[in-house]
Amino acid sequence: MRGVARRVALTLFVVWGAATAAFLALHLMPGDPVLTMLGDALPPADRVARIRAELGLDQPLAEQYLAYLGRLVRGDLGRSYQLEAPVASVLGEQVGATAALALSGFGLALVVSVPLALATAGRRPALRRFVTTLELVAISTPSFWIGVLLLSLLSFRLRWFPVAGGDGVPGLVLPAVTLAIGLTGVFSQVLRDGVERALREPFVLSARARGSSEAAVRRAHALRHAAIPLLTLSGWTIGTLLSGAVVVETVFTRQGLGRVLATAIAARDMPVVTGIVVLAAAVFAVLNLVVDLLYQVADPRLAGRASPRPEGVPR
Amino acid sequence: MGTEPLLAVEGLRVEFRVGRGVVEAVRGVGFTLTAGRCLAIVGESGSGKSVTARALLGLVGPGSRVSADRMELAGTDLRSLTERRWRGVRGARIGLVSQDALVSLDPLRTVGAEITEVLRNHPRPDAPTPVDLLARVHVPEPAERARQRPHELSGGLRQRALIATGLAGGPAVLIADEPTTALDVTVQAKVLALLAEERDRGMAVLLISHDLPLVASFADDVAVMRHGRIVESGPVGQVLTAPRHEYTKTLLAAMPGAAPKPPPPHREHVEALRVDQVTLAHPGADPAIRRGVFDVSFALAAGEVLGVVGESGAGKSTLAELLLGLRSPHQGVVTLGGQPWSRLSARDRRPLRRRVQLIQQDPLGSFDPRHRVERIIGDALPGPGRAARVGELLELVGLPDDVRSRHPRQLSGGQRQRVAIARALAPGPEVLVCDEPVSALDASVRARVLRLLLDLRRGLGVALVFISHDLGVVREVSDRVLVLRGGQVVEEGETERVFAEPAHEYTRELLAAVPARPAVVSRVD
Repeated sequence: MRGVARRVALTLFVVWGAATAAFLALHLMPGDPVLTMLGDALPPADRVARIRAELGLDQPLAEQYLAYLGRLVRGDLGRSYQLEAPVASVLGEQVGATAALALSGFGLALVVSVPLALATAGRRPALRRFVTTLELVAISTPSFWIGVLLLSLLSFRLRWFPVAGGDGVPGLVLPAVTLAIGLTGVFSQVLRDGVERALREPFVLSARARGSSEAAVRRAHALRHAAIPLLTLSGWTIGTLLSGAVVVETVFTRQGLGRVLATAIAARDMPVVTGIVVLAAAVFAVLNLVVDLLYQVADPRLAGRASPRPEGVPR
Repeated sequence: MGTEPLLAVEGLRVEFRVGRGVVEAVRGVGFTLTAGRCLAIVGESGSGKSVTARALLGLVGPGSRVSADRMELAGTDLRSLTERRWRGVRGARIGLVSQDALVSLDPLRTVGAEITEVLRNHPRPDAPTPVDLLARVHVPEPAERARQRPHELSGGLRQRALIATGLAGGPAVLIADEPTTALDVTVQAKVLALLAEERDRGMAVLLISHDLPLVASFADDVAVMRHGRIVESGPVGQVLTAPRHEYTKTLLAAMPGAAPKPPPPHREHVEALRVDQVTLAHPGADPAIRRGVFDVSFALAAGEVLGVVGESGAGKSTLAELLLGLRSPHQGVVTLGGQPWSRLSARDRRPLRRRVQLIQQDPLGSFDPRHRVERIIGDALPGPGRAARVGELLELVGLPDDVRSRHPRQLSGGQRQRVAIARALAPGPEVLVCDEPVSALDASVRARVLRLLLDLRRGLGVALVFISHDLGVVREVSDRVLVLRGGQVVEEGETERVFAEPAHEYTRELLAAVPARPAVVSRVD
């Protein structure tokens, strides 16, 4: 119970840290947000002063910071300079699209990489070599290039999928596949490595000496041991994807946090940028918590320990 | 009990492809197993004994070639089995029990799930339940234990659980590969009694071991293996009392206590180290189990060898950390050469650190694998004259000078331990703390390393604290013995007195659990 309380406190600390960093970045950035916002070459000085007062930008920095934290605690992320709408609702509109893309891409990669790793770990040398080469290609190919290839082949030429945007499942397929290709490469490498390490452990000899088949040994014993490093990687991956897959969203002209972030940065729309930074920090902190709890499900030996000890490291 | 052999092996050969070459691990081995008897295959590491055991299960591994003139299990020719038919043999007709259940049972699964796996692989109408099987191997509260994982059980209990997985499929042959190696002596004795019970029920047991006293106390027949061949075999009594082969004689001579101990050197009594009423408690999850050391006192004279014995959890490692000044006691004081060692600040300890050095069980982990021996030893030496001093140290520990340009992985276990000793000697210590220094070594290598340590204390006057769970080894090297239990000293005294007339109940229990050395061995010369 004390562990849980400590982790919740840590989560709040991380979110506060990210919010503070975003606030400082906003005020250290060169340029005047009000001038950027108005866009005119030389706006009248009284209008600038009025807007500055409205936004509270004329107050001392410490007071601005406290007011900003106060709004954050109440869940108020401010108003977008550019979109003329509350940041919270701007983000709310985009989160659904981003989550759909992130989770489907992640799920697809998982579904493909588990059988791939199990089939090639420590056996079928020719196939293994072929698959690892493919994985390397998948990891090192930039996702915009994969996206453009898929688009030109499957959308423009074969017309199987919508070219741009597109709601619902058909519009999701190509972006998700684009994301999944790179992820599959990483996931199956990590999984195969874990399975191969587990297969060298003495308990695998015990299992084989009980008359268990190769498939059963891999499924019932090795896979679970390989799950721990994958879990670590998954937390990081989902976190990154949930804070926006800019490149894929741009290539497929999809809605999503990534594109909103890119646009906001270009337009110096700082409330939106800070909003996304705070959201991303919160997502990461929560995912970390979830991953930590899942570690204990995957490996009961870790229960009551602060962080997982890698397999095979002596106490 | 029929006299017809259950398992007959003739001309067994196992080869491994290594790079472009071929290594012969087993070169024409033959033996038979009979119901209700135990055959022990004894050999040092690399002799091919474990590979032989795996060949009987068709589990030698990739890159190997197994051939035999005969390999027959009660009418089944094992040489031509398909993988599917092999699976019908493994677990159901031949069971395997490996060493160290902590890693030989899947640490993520419950003990019950591991047993169920065997039962599911080999369904039969009269199959026992996992709980029945745990009860059969005398695990208390079997229903509860079945739901626990290996790390939640004590060493003895989980080894029993591993044996239960070996028995679950109802095999007629049980292969026990070093089944007690990871266990404390008192636990060892109980696990052996369990195996004896199964043998007496009619099981044919193949015991694979490096431990001659253990074999002598348990097996009916013994086969001594070396370089992939059986050099000598026969009934235990005959092989151990009247060995015909040179190698068997060497093994017997290397047994602890087989050689007369040199008298301790005479020298003036100078106190090297003193421990006064020292207590260091580890905060544990379970307050009922106290870990650490409690109110321990002793003194160590220069050139003296003090043996520290105890089972796991007795506080041996904590004591080592205290002596090395790696931790400070909660109470009491450790005095080193007249200075209050344990009360000094970290900064004041540093110049004194060279005076106490450590030798560990397996030094490989403490060597930087990228460094050569020259650097491993030289790191502890001042710059000028370093190369020459490394040469002297290598000579002192009996290593050829060309070892200096090798990496630790290119050395044998015995050579590595000698390098570790040379490194410990480099800063000119007065006390060497030896924590299980020979436990990872084969018997014949062990004897030579022990001899080296005794020579060093004689030649250099260095005092040794010799920590071990192995009573035989402690008896061989120590002038005095300290028996630890639950962090407390239960007995202390001259080695011969403690072993001949143990005063404390626990010491008697420890000594009783040591597999009896056959009295006849001392007749061997």
